[in-house]
Amino acid sequence: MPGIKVDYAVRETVTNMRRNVLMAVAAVLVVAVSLFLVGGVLLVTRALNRVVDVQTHKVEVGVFLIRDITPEDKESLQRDLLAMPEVDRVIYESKQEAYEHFKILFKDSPDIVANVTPDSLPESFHVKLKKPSEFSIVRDRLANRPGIDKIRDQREFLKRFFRVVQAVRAFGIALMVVFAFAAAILIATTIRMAIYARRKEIAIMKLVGATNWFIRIPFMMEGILQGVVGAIVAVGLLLAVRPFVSGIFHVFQFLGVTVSIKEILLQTFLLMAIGIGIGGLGSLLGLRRYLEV
Amino acid sequence: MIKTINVNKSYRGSVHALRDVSIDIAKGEFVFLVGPSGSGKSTFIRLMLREETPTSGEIYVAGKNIGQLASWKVPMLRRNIGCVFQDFKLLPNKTVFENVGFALQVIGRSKDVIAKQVPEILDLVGLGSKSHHLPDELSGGEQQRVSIARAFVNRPQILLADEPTGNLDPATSVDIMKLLDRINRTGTTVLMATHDHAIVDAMRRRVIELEGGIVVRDQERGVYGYGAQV
Repeated sequence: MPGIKVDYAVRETVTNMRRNVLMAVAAVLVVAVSLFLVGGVLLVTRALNRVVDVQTHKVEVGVFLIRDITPEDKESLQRDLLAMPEVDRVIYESKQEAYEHFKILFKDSPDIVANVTPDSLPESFHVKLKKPSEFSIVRDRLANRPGIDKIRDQREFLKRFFRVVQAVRAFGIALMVVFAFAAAILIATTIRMAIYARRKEIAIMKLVGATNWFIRIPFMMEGILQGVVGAIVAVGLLLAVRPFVSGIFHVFQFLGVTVSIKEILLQTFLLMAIGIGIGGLGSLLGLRRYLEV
Repeated sequence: MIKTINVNKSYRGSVHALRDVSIDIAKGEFVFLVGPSGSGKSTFIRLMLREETPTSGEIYVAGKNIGQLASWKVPMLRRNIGCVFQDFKLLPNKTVFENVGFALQVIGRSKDVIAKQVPEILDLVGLGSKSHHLPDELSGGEQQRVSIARAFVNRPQILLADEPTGNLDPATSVDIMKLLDRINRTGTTVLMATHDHAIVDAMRRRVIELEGGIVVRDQERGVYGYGAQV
């Protein structure tokens, strides 16, 4: 082959590739962003769920007693609580003990503590349940018992927190679906451009009887490759962002939210699977109509 | 080999490209499809390749009713049909050898088969010495030979040629016709759409004339021993 032709072929190939590379990079980045969101949302909600779980298990039911409860009522109440199958432990808290807790809880506000005496605080049983969700059973059993002032389920606290977690998750998933869709469309566009660049070859392939799958597979591979590379970039982004997010979570230190590097790496396969899905879907979208027989 | 029964093809329900076309072409025949532009020649060729399906009527190619052919079987149909066009449809960045080999490569033939069959077919079309040239280093006639080599390298039963001499001067056209005739003598059915009357008159073969989508003439001229009965 004369040298000038090689020169021409190389130049054209490079031009083609540069045009396609820009598109491919764009597609990979959008896949990466959407998978970054997928991974981020999954990791954060999982961490938050873990927190909710741990806190829920720590939670107790407070059975607060009226001021003038008779010792017999108190005793039979404790006995009956211990006899309930749902109950794990029962801890009695006297007025004095309640006062000690109160002092610790409000150690930063001495004036509040000063206004409280042990006698102004109620006695209580702190009931630890085997399953926190069985609160209502216990509450119903205790209905109409003499000597009980209030029954408080500390889970109420967590419910609000849980709702926030769910809102975060729903928002994250919605965002992620939008991005995944955008990524699939971008991949479809890159595939369409690749098809357009090779339309003559494809026309000839169809004419001489290449099967549709024979023609499709290289393009599908291209789309899937973009998805996989996007997934790898997404994992990299998650690893890069982890220290910052951890920093934010440290504000809520008492909840113990952590996401480990290992957890992120374990997600690689999931993200790759989704990346392959997005890439495959995108390339099928791009191939549709253009490669019909 | 090719048989159509009352084939109609209309676009958007009003433009009638073909009306009630019934043609029977036997194995090994050489048939000219003539008629002015817009007479339905190209539509007929596209129907043979199942690039389109008829509005009504039946089409049999190589014994198969291709109107009812599942779309995944279409590639197998096309492996039995070689195709040559006025504009050659060669890939400019592939050599002659690669252009012909491409046809085998994309139907999954091995490198060994390609290495064996491509030089054979290039010798047949008289381009054995130019296998490493790019298409635009060749003359129009040579390019059309490459395109015929590509169409015939898989030894199809049918060769469809749509205005194969349309871009060539008369002398080169004669060479191309000689080549098509040689391919026909191997038992390949050749259907050639053309409006080159000089060639049709010189070749003295069966002529089917279309006008406004209707068959107005179907004339046997000089059918020799290798014709209809093979």
